[in-house]
Amino acid sequence: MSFPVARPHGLQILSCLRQGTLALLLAVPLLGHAQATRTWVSGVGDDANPCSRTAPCKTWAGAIANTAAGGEIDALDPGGFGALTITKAITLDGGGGQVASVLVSGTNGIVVAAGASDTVVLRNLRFAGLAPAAGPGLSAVNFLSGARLTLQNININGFATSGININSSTASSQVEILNTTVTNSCAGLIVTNTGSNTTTVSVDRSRFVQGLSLGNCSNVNAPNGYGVYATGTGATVQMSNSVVFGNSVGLGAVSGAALNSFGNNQVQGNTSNGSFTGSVSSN
Amino acid sequence: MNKRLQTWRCLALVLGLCALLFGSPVWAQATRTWVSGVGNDANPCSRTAPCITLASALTKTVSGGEIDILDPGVFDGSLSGTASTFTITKPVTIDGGGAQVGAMGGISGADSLVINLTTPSAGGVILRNLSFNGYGVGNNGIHLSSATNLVLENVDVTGYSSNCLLIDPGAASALIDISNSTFSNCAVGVANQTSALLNLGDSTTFLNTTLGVSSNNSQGGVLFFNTVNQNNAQNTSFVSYSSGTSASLSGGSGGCAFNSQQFVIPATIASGSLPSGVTAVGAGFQFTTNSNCGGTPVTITINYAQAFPAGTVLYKYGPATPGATTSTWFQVPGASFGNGGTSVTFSITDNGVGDSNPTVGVITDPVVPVVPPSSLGIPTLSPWALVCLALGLGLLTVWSRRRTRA
Repeated sequence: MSFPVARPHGLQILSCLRQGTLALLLAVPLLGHAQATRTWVSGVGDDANPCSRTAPCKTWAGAIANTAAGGEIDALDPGGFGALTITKAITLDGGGGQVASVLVSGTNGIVVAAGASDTVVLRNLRFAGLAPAAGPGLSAVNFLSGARLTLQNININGFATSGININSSTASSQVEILNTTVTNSCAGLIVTNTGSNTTTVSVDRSRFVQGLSLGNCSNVNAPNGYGVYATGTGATVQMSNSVVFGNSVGLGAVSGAALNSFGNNQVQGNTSNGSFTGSVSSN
Repeated sequence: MNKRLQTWRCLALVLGLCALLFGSPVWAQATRTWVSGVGNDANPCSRTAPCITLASALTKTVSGGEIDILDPGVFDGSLSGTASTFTITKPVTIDGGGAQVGAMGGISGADSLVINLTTPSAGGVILRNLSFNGYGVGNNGIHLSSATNLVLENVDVTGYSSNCLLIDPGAASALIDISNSTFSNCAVGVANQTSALLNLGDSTTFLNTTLGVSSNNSQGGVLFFNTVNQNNAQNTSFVSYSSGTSASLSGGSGGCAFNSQQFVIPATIASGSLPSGVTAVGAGFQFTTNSNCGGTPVTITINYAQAFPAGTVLYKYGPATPGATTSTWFQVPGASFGNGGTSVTFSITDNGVGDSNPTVGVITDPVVPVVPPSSLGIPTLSPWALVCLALGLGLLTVWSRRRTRA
């Protein structure tokens, strides 16, 4: 770095001060909060806190900045903790029972844009997208890249694209969906893989209910109103113990996608039920 | 005339003053509100200043928004005064969390929760992680009264003198999805009185003193998935179709079978466009066969839960003549009712009359049992309706005479 020499002294000092302040400002947050392996959010927290158990943060976004890759963010008590984009390996756990929620309108809830070897776990969370009101949330969970994603005990209601939208650019991605319910969204689950990548999605004990053409839908990769929709040769979905009920169309698999059943699902009460493309054994 | 105008002005002024003095403060509506067992309805129902009743929180929540319960409590007004019926008038999600107890208690002779949306189709209502206790004196626990889609997840309803869950005739064609819920110690656990379709998954009805699940509308339906009805005076009673309703197929070439089949609410076939005067008397049945059903005619038998009234015929929506490009409603020729009037059998040939699917070997066919207009009697009013009509006319006369005098 070269110092300005042709300036009057006063200006020079001012400039130095400016640079110093800037450096200090940049350094303080890093010095103040080293990244922890486990951080906490609370409905009455504050993102100025270090997100510790005794000084929790207010939002997922505030906490993730203070959480090391591979670490975990836990909800301490009920709250709405806001939208988040995940770019590293992380676990989010809303806790067993309390309402730990993400409420959005006009955007995605949680975007997973993680690295090609990253594992992301989302557990015990609620997503509210406000559809069919105008300007609803797009997708509750939008998986764009990453090696492995687990969705466990998730409730999703009212999204304009899809409750769960999986369209991974990673060469090989695996997604596990457990005990998860999607209601009143323009689609329940959409799995898209049109390139040479492979995306395998397992669904167990989950419900895709009342995916209707609600109005204000914004699907790009799928028609509206599907319970579960898979498209592209790289997309494989397998379902067990799950329910697809009250959708415009229950199941859809196009362009070479596989939608397999373990033979113990309920696909009923949809305007058109659609069908699985094949069956698989659970053991 | 001037005096009258003056009176109206005075009345308006008084009402306006009353509204200013005693009306609740106006809050901007939030997308998410909170209630707490130690909240206060004078609060904005925020996370840090929660309310104490669901009714107050609803007024401060946008349509399609969410009310969450912060901690244990009962949110029907009894913690801050008197319990009263909570009426949901707009789409909303109510989430009790998982560790909370309480939610709604019983009110003698009244319902705990009524769902009656001002605009029934404006969106769905989600009830999650809630418990309802009628203390043995409440009338209905949850009462759906508008054609609104309803989701119950992890909801426990117990101790109501009428129904734990009532779907009344106002909820025609609603979809109701129920999971991980229980309905117990009521007269009837789940009562469907209309053409709604209920899906009970991973749920239990038990110890109800009259019935576990009842569905008494021939166009309604009840589906079960891992659901148990046990220890009720009578476990189920269906006039509607249920998961037990079945259909069979024979004929076609070797290997001809259903590819998909289901009973449906008649209103879902061809957008409910049954010709005027034709009344559906049972669930519709939709099916698609696999591709081995070409050649010889295929015979379909559909078994219903109840006998159809006299004069019932089978209608279908599709090409009325072989190869017709437009679909219309017509009577299926040769359909016969058997088994005490509870089953109907008819034949259909691939790409013949009624096959809506031009693919060779595949038959697609929605049918509905109906009573056509010719066999309907002249409409008459029931004795009670006549009494009502007479009373109405009487009142009209009195009103009209008073008006003349004034």
